[in-house]
Amino acid sequence: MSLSEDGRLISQIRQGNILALKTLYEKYKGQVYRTALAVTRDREAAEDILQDCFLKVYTHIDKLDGSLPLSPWLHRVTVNLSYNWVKKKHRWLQPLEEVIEQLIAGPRTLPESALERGELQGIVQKAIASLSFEHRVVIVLFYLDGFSLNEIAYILDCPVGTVKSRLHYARLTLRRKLERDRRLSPEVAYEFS
Amino acid sequence: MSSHRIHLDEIDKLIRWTLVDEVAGEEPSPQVWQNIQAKIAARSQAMPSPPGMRRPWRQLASALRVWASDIIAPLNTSWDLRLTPQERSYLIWRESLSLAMIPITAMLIY
Repeated sequence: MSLSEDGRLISQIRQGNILALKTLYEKYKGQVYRTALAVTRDREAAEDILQDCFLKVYTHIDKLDGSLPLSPWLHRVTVNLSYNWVKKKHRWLQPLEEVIEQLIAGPRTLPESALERGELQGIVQKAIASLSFEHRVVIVLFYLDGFSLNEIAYILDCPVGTVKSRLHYARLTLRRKLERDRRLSPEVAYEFS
Repeated sequence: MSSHRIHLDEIDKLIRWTLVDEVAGEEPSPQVWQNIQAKIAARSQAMPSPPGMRRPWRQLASALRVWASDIIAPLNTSWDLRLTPQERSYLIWRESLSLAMIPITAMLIY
């Protein structure tokens, strides 16, 4: 679906066409949900954020510019809602045990031959999870969603220099944490590539 | 596990791989869209039209007010010259009521 089709859908929503909103929802639900999930690490919260995000699309449909990409705007709302959730719940990270439990007993059961792969993921997840909200969000938007630095600056409503700085320090922190983790063997580390 | 260090030149790939794999295949439940629909329906009952639909009403009401004012404005000058203060006060009150009724009547018709 092209950008102009997003604009057409936005026009139709302005006329009260709920089916157009559903089409837009179907297009972006996965992206928004997975970003919220990666940031909050909570499925229920991610679904609430997705729901509120699309209610905001409907409420603020007059303010949306159909000629611009919709994805950064959706992610801006998603990040703000995620931040509110974190603040409201007074929690940020799940204990490591929960993360590993989810990893093993999650929807995708890892095959026995990939146990080391799962262990490597667990270690990196732990490192990412230990980052501050600001650093983690930048990491998720950059590595998971593939947004450019300019797009992340728009999403976070901050200068590009701030995004560069956060990304740099987040990577540096991850690098140091992973360097300290002596359980990783080079064979396992190379498996992902 | 051996105690070797990770090859950090590959850090970017490792982060991306972990994040993508962590949420791969994750989808929201169908209930989310149903909730969105229900909330929009509830709001629509309180507010009959979506935000974009309200603008034409405002524009119509505003245009009607300007149109009625233009018609009645010359009469004000005549009233000032010919009427007593009591008569002028009554006519001003009646004029205001008539102006207020125009947009209300238009909304009731639609």
